[in-house]
Amino acid sequence: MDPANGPSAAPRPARECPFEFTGNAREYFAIWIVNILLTIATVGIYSAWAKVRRLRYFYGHTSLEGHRFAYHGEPLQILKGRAIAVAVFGAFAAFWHFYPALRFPALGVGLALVPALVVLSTSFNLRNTSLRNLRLSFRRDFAAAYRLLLLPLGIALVGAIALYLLIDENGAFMQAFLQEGEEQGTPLTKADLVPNLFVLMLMPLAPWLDFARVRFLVDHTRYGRLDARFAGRAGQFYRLYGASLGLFVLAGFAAGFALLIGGRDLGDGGPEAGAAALIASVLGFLAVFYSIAFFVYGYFKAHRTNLVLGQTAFDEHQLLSRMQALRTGWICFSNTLAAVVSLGLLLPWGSIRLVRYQLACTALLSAGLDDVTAGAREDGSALGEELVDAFDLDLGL
Amino acid sequence: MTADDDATLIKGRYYDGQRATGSEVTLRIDAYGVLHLDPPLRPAMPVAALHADTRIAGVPLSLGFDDDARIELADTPAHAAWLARHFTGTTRIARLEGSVRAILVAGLAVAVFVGATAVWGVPLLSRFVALQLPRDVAAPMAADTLTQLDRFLFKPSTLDAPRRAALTTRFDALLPPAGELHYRLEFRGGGMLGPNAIALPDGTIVVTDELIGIADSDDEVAAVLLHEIGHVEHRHSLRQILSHAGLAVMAGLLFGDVQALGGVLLAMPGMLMENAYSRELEWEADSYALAHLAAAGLRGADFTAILGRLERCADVVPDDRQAFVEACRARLKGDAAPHDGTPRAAVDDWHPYLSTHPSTAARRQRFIDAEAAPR
Repeated sequence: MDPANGPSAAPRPARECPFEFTGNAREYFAIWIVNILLTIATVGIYSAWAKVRRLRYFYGHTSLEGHRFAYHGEPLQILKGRAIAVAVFGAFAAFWHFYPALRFPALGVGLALVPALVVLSTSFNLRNTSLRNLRLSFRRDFAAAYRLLLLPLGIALVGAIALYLLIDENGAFMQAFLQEGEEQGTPLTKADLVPNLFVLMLMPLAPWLDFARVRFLVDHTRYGRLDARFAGRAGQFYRLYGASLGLFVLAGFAAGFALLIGGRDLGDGGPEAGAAALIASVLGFLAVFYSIAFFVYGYFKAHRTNLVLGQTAFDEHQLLSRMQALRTGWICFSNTLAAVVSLGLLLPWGSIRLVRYQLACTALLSAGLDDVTAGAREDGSALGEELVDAFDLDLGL
Repeated sequence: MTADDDATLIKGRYYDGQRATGSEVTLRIDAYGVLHLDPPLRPAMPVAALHADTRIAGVPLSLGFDDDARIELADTPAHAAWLARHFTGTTRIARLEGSVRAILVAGLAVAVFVGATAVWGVPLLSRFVALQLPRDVAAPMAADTLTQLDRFLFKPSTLDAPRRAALTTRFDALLPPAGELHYRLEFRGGGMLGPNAIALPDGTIVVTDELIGIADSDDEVAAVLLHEIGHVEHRHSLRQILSHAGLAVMAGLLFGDVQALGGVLLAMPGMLMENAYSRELEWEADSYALAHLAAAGLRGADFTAILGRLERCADVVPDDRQAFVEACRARLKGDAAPHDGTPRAAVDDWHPYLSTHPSTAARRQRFIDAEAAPR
């Protein structure tokens, strides 16, 4: 389609513009295997170029209204960040193993860096993404990022202390807790409750934390002069997390039930057959549980993506996402199975398949992006992004 | 840069980087290497001032200007050839990726490399690194491990003082000539671990009451201790940590972009590999024990006997330690020939690759063969 030139005269009606993906597994396999070969041959140095090629392939094969996305990350910049990240991560791992006493201070320092790293990496990723040669960008609001982390931690801490003060030293709960410790051969005191209470208070905040993080990331994103806005509410995240947790528990019961039925026939062949039956039933339980877990994961991933994208708009341009839980679960399940059976060779096929499905479910409700103009440009380094890569945190939008 | 007068006219789409609209444009590069646009959206300029991205199959070719403007060309063979004529190196890697032969060679090379690294590279490298590190690097870690084990698994030992003293004297006699390491024997109730012995990297060796309980003689306990000293002497703890890290780095490089849940299943080959390393280390510790048996006044039969007992009692639930030892001894007494009877190898047959230890039959056979061989 040829985009119309010149300023638009009358406002056109908004329509659904689908995202299109033209990548295929054959091409991507070639890129993937050459990436691995050159990464090995250069002792890891090529990995920065490999990453750029991989992202350029995926972005360059994604289009909206006939215009392609593009990735502009600089390999040398990524390599620099990667080198620092490897050094930091190596030091961290060494501390973790060899100085157990310093584990928690090291972990604390690492955690304190997370908000800054999230901001830096998101900024790097968006700044290097373009559509119609206009870049996305991210407003680097470090203070808001730290507030985002400190608020739930603070609430959990206050809640834990309040609960601690409320619990009766001689009450039934306290006695049960102390007895539990006794049975495990660990003498406990009331103070040992505090970490448990803290985690207990933090858990119900997890959906809210996810919600607040998504809102923070979306609300600070721009495309040219368009401001992104997240309209989702915390309640939606609570419903999603609640339903997923419920399904997960059901999966556990279902797998346990399957084990019970299957294990009954195997149990009466003497001690030797008994050992074999035990192993078989444990493996059976894991197989059933994992299979179901993939579909629960599919449910969570599909609905979360729908929620995050579906509630995001760039000014009057509204994103739409309609992923299906079962289909997503099936893709994740069969991708993993194929990857295991093929000793990893089908991994690129799986990646392409998932991205193709996800983009087929995504659209932009818009009268067209022809009138968008460029915003101000900010520069920054790849350091944040690579540190996040090395620590394996999932920060995807 | 070639200076032939390239008459080829190339159609592209020009984006100025300020507005979202693109406009169709025709490109021509003249004999002097100067780019002309038609319509003339910007003045003619030397090709050297432009930057071209490397080609990737199916992705639009792009020419960037210094002011963020960009021209996109469809990725056709003609366009790619034209680009390659004027911008060297932009199609080099794409050519590699487009060649079936190169892909096959790459696949083969990667498979061989990954296989060789997993099987030989990682253990050799971790051994080399472990030997370079100072011995006391693992001391804080060892102390922490023992604290955790005491908290969650072990119980205090109920062995009386004379018995401990006797075993400690025996232990001291087994030690290699004084080195940097301070060896120390600790006694514990095994708890969930039952009959067992554990070597920590700082030279602390823990032996459980249950193990001492089922052994027929101190010679048998000493044989196990020799095996544990082998673990320490060959720095197995450190090598295991380094192997684990090595595998993680390799997996990260290869499969860095795999979904979280898929990652769990893909961790399985890693686990199998680590079990293989562990079997290798156990074998090495056995070698150490075998080499030092004679000097310690022990026989191979002492080692095979205790191995046989351990296997025979593997499925006795380590409940209360006294009850455990009695149940185990009762079972051993019930066997016609506890030491030489065919080992009950159901578990070994079942999952040789899931095990952290080599098969007991193979380990015993090795000591029996060594004893039989003429010296």
